[in-house]
Amino acid sequence: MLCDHQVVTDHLIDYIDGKLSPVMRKQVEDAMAECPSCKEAYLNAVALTQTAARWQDQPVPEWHRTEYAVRPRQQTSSWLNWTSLAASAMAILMVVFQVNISTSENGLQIAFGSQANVDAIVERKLAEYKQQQDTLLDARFVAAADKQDTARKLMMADMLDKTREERRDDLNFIVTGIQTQRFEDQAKLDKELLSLAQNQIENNQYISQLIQSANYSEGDK
Amino acid sequence: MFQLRKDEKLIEKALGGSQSSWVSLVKRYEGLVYNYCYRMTFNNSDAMDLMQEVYLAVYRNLPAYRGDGKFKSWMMRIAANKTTDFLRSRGRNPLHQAGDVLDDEFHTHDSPHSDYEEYAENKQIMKVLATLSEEHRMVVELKFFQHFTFEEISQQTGVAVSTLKTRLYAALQKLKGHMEVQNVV
Ligand SMILES: [Zn+2]
Repeated sequence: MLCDHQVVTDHLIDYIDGKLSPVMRKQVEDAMAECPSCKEAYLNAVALTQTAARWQDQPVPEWHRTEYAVRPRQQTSSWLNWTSLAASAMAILMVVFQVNISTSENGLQIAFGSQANVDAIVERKLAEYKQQQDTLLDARFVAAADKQDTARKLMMADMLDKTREERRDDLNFIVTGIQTQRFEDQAKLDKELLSLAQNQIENNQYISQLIQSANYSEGDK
Repeated sequence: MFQLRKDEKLIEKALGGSQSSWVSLVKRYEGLVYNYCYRMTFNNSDAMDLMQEVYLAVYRNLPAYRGDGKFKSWMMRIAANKTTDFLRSRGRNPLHQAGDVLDDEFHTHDSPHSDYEEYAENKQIMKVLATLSEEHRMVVELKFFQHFTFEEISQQTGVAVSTLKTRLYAALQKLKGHMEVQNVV
């Protein structure tokens, strides 16, 4: 009988570990008795087990374990608990307008570092984009809305950092546009912000991690 | 179980910004990861580079760690991915052609003489591993050195269990003639 090595391929490790039923064990032993190839696989596996056990762990050379470990920025307020902040458009807008958001007894407060002249419009914009992004992302994030874990805080901090670095040029361009055009060309600005937001959603790995994290949270329930 | 819980605690603290927790977590597994990288790259400095890449990725992905499985297994999945990428890019680098890597390795190692004696055994083992392709070496590494189950290896590598078993059988065949030297020892 010609051996296709399948029995030994499937069960060799369990055979060595003594985890097979007597019936299966017999099958493996029969295959090894008749097939030199299977017999050799077994012998090599046993030898390899012994070989691996002889490995002497080599000490790890000294290295910088925290070089790349960016610490999350200390946040005194709980603004990160705002689930919809996950929307990248919001992150961008926050960078653009240096938005400070804090919670108080009066609820959510939004303040701008400058651009006082566009406060009203921006505030409306923020609300609009929040709504838009909510619609877009709520399906994914709603499950995690009440699970404000540290993981997401770190990710938000990371994302804002990265957003700030990567999008500075884009943002400067848009800020300039806002200042000079004074929202005369609303449609164009809308389009720019939206495409920027979408671009961010598609490309930002932190966003995808965030989504992954949210999905995991959902799965945990 | 205790170990598992402690991993989770360190991860939680690290995510909260505790550098010392992160360092503790790294130190707990870096020996395992480093030796794994060493056996996969056959080279001290490559092992070091690869290990750092693995931990950078672990750090970046830590927020996405579910906490519902073994951290070690999750970490080794990242290690497997990084190793595949690393070996692939090294394969394109003419400075790192297969065959060169094992020579001189232990002469450049700046450890005391006693260490040299101790690691001479490792050199023999790596010579055996060097007869395998990267795919075969990976499954041998994860099965015989890391002692993961086929299911765990499958999760880490994204390769089906049946394929892994076939690869392992083939790897054991490839060891023909190389293991005999080991058997005598
Ligand atoms: Zn056979």
